[in-house]
Amino acid sequence: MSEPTSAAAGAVAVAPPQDRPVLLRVRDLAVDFKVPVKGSLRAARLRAVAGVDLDVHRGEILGVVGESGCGKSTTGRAILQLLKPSEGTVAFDGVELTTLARGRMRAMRRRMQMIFQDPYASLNPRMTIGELIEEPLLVHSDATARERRAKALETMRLVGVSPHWHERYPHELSGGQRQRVGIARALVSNPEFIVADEPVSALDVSIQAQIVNLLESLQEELGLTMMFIGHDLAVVRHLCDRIAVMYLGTVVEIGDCESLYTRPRHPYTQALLSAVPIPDPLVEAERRRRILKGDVPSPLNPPTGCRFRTRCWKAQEICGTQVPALTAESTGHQVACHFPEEPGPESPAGT
Amino acid sequence: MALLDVRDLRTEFRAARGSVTAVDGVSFSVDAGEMVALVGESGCGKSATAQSIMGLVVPPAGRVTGGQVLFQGQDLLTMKPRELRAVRGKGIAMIFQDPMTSLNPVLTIGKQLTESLRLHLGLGNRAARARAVELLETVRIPAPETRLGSYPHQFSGGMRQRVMIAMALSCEPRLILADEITTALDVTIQAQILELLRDLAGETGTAVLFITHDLGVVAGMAERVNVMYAGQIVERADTVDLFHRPQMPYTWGLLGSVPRLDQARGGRLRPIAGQPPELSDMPPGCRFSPRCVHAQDVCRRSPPTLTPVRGADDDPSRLTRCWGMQAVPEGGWLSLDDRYADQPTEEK
Ligand SMILES: Nc1ncnc2c1ncn2[C@@H]1O[C@H](COP(=O)(O)OP(=O)(O)OP(=O)(O)O)[C@@H](O)[C@H]1O
Ligand SMILES: Nc1ncnc2c1ncn2[C@@H]1O[C@H](COP(=O)(O)OP(=O)(O)OP(=O)(O)O)[C@@H](O)[C@H]1O
Ligand code: SF4
Ligand SMILES: [Mg+2]
Ligand SMILES: [Mg+2]
Repeated sequence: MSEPTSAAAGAVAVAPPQDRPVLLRVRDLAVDFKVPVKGSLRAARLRAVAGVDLDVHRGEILGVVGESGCGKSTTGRAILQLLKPSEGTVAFDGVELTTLARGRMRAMRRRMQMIFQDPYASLNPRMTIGELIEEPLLVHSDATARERRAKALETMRLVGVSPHWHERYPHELSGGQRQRVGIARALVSNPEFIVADEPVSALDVSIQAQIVNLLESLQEELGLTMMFIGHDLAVVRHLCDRIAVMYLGTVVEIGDCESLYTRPRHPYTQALLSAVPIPDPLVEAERRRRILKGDVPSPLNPPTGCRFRTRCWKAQEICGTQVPALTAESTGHQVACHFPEEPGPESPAGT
Repeated sequence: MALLDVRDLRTEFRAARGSVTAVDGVSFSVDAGEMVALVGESGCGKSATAQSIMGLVVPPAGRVTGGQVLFQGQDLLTMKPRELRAVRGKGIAMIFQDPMTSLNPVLTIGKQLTESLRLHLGLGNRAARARAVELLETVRIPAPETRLGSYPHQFSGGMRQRVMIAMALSCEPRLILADEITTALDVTIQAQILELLRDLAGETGTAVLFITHDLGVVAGMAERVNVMYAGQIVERADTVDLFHRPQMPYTWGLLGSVPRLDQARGGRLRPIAGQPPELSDMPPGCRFSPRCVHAQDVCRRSPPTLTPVRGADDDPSRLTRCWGMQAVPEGGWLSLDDRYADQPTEEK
């Protein structure tokens, strides 16, 4: 369906993800929110994203995982400039977005789209499915009504929504079908880059698997580059080439899928993986879990030094005084920890 | 005698046109000290089942229209409200998915805990307070004395769920109904809560009916599993048996839908096509037949019953609701021989 990216994607599809050209480069990204303070007129500053570095390579799916409130959605929205970053740079295909003039940003927007978690909230209930899918074309192209309709129908077919639904309304659809419509809206303008923010989290497993398969085949077919935000680590691993693990507004580890899951280097990644239940009672019975103590601290008052140190079993003095930098190893794996696990023998999730 | 014996439970809700049967002839049991799972997708009737057991389905919204709920041999459905209250406090406790709906937002945690202890155990002020501190300690809430003065919104989701566990335990019940208690929580907090519930239930010998849609959680928690689909139980087995020798195509489908962290990556997931039926528009035969790749004429025509699987004819703990597993009305057996083709974890 899309011409612009397929050639490039086709040419690099065989290279390992970290060797493909970088499409999106994020550096020192920070996003602050002002939140009211009880009993005070002055608002407090909540740093939801605190210095994130990410590269997304052309044609890859980068997974972003981490617990609720760690800043995944905020990162995604700041990358697409749906939120104004407080600090840092976001370069898309070599163009710096944070300083881009309005008009040029609008043109860029066509190339980068978002899929949302809640297909109920993100679809206007008074528009038909057809109108909803055509809407992005009104904004992003000068296609005629006929062309828009044809494109909408083509996209509906692509995502598995029957053309019969063209004149119907969102409330008539099931959750899975609505998510397909959300995906169609994101794809209809032929974007190169998609931020998918928990697109399957609200769905039942049998429907979730349908959508995961759909995203997988669309990515292959269209050569899309994707940032997939999720909290189900098994789903993220299934779908993604590389994974970034976030904790309290920072990226603590990035690596290709296999090495991150079999040899997690950051203590938080280890704990996160070991907490994921595995649907096999024999495996579960043998597992030794690394159970974290306590809760995630408030982002209003994050710990000094390493933000994970209050829950970390390895923490030493230096962890309270120095922020560990995200450091690359020869393998391309990056980790931000003063005492990372040695990249030694395989330690599969949960042992 | 089973601690809880649910027989042919039937629950209807008022709907736009007439009523819908959300629980349609559900039978299962929980033995003393046992952890039994009720698993299924959204809307299949798990919560409705638990709420019916607790006597929480009341007109005009809905009502229990049939069956028995035997708790220690007594039918809760025919009990007087007073007797029922006593059972609800000391015999059975329930924990819900969203603790905010069951905690009173304007009362401190301490007030709510001591209130319940005084009411159900008849403790005095002082004793109730001491017990409350003990309970918060048991559920591993740091600095319990000072925490008694906090309000629910000052606690994190995980801490609120701990408080709910503390409340459920406070009256030393024989049975806890735990309805999706970790669904709203992050995975590391989920691991804490599951460990806590497992430890405490084990120590006190409390039985748990564990309700969830998460197969991974079931695998780590339950001894026996009941799979629900569209208001009915469709398969029952020991946990190991269910995951390693699933018999009903719906269960295979569920297992094929979830990727596993401990298995090599690669290959597509095998989802179930379509979506569950509307309660108001049930297919006439097997309720799973519109989505079942093995469905045959008999499946679309007549509903199968929940019966022992072939080869285990006298084992009431191993049941399926599938024509592939029982003699069809015309006599003889359906052949679903290719069924193992899409079965994820067949054991040698
Ligand atoms: N509009 C806002 N105003 C104030 N604070 C916000 C706003 N949006 C997000 N936050 C805060 O920023 C932090 C990061 O939120 P974000 O939604 O990015 O997390 P997330 O990782 O996407 O979590 P989830 O898994 O729950 O979706 C949280 O502490 C959140 O409370
Ligand atoms: N108070 C009510 N009034 C009308 N219908 C109801 C009511 N409560 C439940 N239902 C219907 O009964 C069916 C079963 O609902 P139930 O809440 O038991 O599902 P569940 O298995 O617990 O699902 P979930 O995983 O989403 O919690 C659903 O179709 C639901 O719409
Ligand atoms: S009865 Fe038929 S349709 Fe139903 S699950 Fe069994 S094979 Fe499939
Ligand atoms: Mg989010
Ligand atoms: Mg429920």
